[in-house]
Amino acid sequence: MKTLALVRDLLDKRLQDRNGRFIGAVDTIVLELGAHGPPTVAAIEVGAPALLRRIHPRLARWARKLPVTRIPLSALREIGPDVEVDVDAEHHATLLRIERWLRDHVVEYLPGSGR
Amino acid sequence: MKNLLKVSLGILTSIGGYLEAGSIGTALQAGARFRYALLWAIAFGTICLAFICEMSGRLAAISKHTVVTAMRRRFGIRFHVYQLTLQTIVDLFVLASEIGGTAYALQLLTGVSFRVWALPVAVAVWGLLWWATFGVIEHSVALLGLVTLCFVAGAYRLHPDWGAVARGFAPGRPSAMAAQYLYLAVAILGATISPYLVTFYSSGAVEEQWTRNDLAVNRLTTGLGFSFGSIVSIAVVVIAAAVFAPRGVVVDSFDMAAHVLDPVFGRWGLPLFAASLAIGCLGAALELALDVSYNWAQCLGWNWSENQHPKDEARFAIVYTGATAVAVLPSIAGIDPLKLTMFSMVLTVFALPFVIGPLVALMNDRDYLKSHVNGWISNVAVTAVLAIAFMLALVALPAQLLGGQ
Repeated sequence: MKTLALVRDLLDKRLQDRNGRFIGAVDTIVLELGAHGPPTVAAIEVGAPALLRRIHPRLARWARKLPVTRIPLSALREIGPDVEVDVDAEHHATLLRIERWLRDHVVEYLPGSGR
Repeated sequence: MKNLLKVSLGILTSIGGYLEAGSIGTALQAGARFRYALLWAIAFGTICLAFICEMSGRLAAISKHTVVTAMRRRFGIRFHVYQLTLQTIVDLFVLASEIGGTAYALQLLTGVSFRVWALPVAVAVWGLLWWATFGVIEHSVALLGLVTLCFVAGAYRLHPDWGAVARGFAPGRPSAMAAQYLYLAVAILGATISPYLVTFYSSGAVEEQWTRNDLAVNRLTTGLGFSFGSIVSIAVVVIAAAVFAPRGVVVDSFDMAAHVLDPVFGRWGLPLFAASLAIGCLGAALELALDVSYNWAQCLGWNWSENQHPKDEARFAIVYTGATAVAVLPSIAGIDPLKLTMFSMVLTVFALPFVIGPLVALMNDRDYLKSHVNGWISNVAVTAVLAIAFMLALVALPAQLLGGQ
């Protein structure tokens, strides 16, 4: 059986979606406390609020309107130098939302963005 | 054969890309005031730079991570956020200096003030990144940068006392102006050990998908490339020592140095100096604007590439756009590019232990480097130079501020 140290092997690693696109990093790891039994590792979170919460709560409050995505551990495919997750970020509700907004509202209006 | 080509191209790029506002500015002042007495600072800085770039290339080849990605992963965001902030601030100051340097070169050529040139220069930097992508222009800028070899030719033609030049590589105590001497030593170290080159170098290695088979090329390119590159800086010191020192000229703006090449090249002196300054600063400005994007993208897990089209990574493109927009302001406001450069170089030295120091720790971690961890020589060399530079800076800055001439 292979073991994994959450902080050493998972936290702060970069995430790739199923198309090989980088979609952020493991900003937080979420554990679930059930009524019975020990806590289980449930998900990872990606997004500015999750990341900033680790630096300072006030920063997280300022960023609370920004998207944060919870990815269940079951979607994790491979944990190597980077972490692969089984999602399609381009068509995801919250992943890459800032990226897509900037592309559609700023970059598109500047000449030569597409080439 | 292919490796030979790689090494040669790497060396050419290092030589052509070596001079920028910081190295030209500090070398001119050092030569004018202290002749060869500060050459040791260039040598120490170059050795340190070669070591840390070799490290970052090795890290990329073995762990497949750039320095920034590995730092965030190894030390966590709560530590890395300070590095990211510091590196961004330093990059912005140096970028502002390079934009100022390019604009000032154009002022020397045209007579139109650098304040007017600043905006067109910034737009050109941004436009080249936005339209042409860096991967395409990188080598052409470096080849154009070979014009800086005119300093080497000039230094040779001025027949300096080579024995005296050689003695400059041993650190000594200045006979006068100790505060100025220390301050310049610190600025030279800051100009030579550029943290952005490290990010850049490791990013290139990751993009080219280096493996352990590239480690030999990595060693040769960093060792030889930066050594050859530093010859250009040394040549600037030698020329300034020959032309300015005997007349007691103090170079406190690029204007004073505009005719430094005239004794060798006659009426071609000014155009050659201005072209060297312009191309060197422009090349560095492109790298610095991109470096801000690299830092943010690699820390936060965005796609990044020097060949990226703005549409494929909007955040990456927006970051270098914003960086260029901010960095143009000091020049538009009329802050003297050389003064800004000197400040930025000293700031770099203060940032170095925090930005580069953790790299040394990382390079001793077998989780990342496997059997290719640092040997004691690189550990000691880099730690010692960074520590010495930082302590010199701690002494030099108050001395300079108190106006000790």
